[in-house]
Amino acid sequence: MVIDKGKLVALLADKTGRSPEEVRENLEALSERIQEATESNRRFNIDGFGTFSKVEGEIYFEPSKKLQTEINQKYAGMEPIELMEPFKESGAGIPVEESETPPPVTEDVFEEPEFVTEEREPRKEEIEAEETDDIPEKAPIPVAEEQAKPKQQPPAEDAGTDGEPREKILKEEKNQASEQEEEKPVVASTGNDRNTLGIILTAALLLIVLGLGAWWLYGSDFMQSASDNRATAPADTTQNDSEPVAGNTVENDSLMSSTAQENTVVADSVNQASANATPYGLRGSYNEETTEGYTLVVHSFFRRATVQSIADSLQQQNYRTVLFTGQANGQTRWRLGLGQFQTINDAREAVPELSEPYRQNYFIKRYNK
Amino acid sequence: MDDKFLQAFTEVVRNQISHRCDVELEGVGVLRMDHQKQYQQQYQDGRVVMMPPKDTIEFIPEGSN
Repeated sequence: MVIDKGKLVALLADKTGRSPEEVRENLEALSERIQEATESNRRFNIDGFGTFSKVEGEIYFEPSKKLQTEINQKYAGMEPIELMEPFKESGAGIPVEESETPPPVTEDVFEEPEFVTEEREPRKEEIEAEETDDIPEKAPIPVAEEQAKPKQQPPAEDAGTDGEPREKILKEEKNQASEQEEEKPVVASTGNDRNTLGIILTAALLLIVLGLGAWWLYGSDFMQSASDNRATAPADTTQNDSEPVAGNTVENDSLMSSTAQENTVVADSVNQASANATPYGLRGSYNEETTEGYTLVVHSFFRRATVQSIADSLQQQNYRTVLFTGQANGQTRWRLGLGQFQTINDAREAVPELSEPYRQNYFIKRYNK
Repeated sequence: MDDKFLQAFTEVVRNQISHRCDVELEGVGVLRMDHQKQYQQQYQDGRVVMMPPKDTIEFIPEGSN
């Protein structure tokens, strides 16, 4: 929507209580003074609003910090989150690549390099290993590792191929020679033959050990007791399988009413699973069992009552709402998030399901209970 | 044009921009909100940083379109 001169005059007249004619004259005077100042290469400043000046033949507007803060109040206090730590402790990082991002903005990173590094430790607590799934591949460290490997590996390989296998072979051959009471020279064989022989011998040894173990188990009382306990096994298995399943409550309830005691255990576990079903998602009700996760923040206000009223209306639209607080410029803000998600990717995938204007106006935030 | 008018002008323009309306100043230009989405920034040392979203004011001088 465009606020043209007529609408602006009406708004200002309403705000100041003056007549539209008087406001129009004031507004025209303001425009003229801005034009005169900029044409004579002077700066025209309006306190709390910004400064108009002329740069390269065009009028340039620089908003004041106060105005910038007020416009950006929704995201006030948001800081860069380190998703992946540096591979090595080197100097200041140099941005090399942007990933999956709409606006090509790099100025912020250059403006706040120490901002990122200084607050690295707090962010470590916020970030979990799962977030590394989002990180673009082909990081430089594999290259560094590959470069380091050739320097260290050659001596290790020499020790490995000529070490243990050769000793084993020598021992075996010595044993054979002593049995046959013949002195034979050690047969020189290739490395591949030695490795193959070593693998075969190891496999044979493992088979013997496993065979002996199975024979011992079969002969002992262990197998007997295991077979005695077999009757309880299916119930336990079913119970474990049923935990993540949702939506089978009705069927299991019917089972519970018509079958014996062991099915009661299964049905109870299913009921518990259905109560805890869908711990994450955009729709439904807030799941208190989910102690942490990600949410799509769509509102931020000073007053909780304001956020709560919006949350109530969104809940009626079957949105799962999350309320939490955040600090911005020393003040507590109430933020309203939609959905509970296990990972950032889950949150991103849910964005298309948001209704306007939230689809174009959100940010992903991690929350803790 | 006095301080009261300038104060009202500042508040009205700020509110309209906050509501994502473009404010047209005749003979000067247009003020509007520019939303920058959050994005990931990868550094040479392997560090990956999620930059937060932000709203800024964009000014388009008259006659530049």
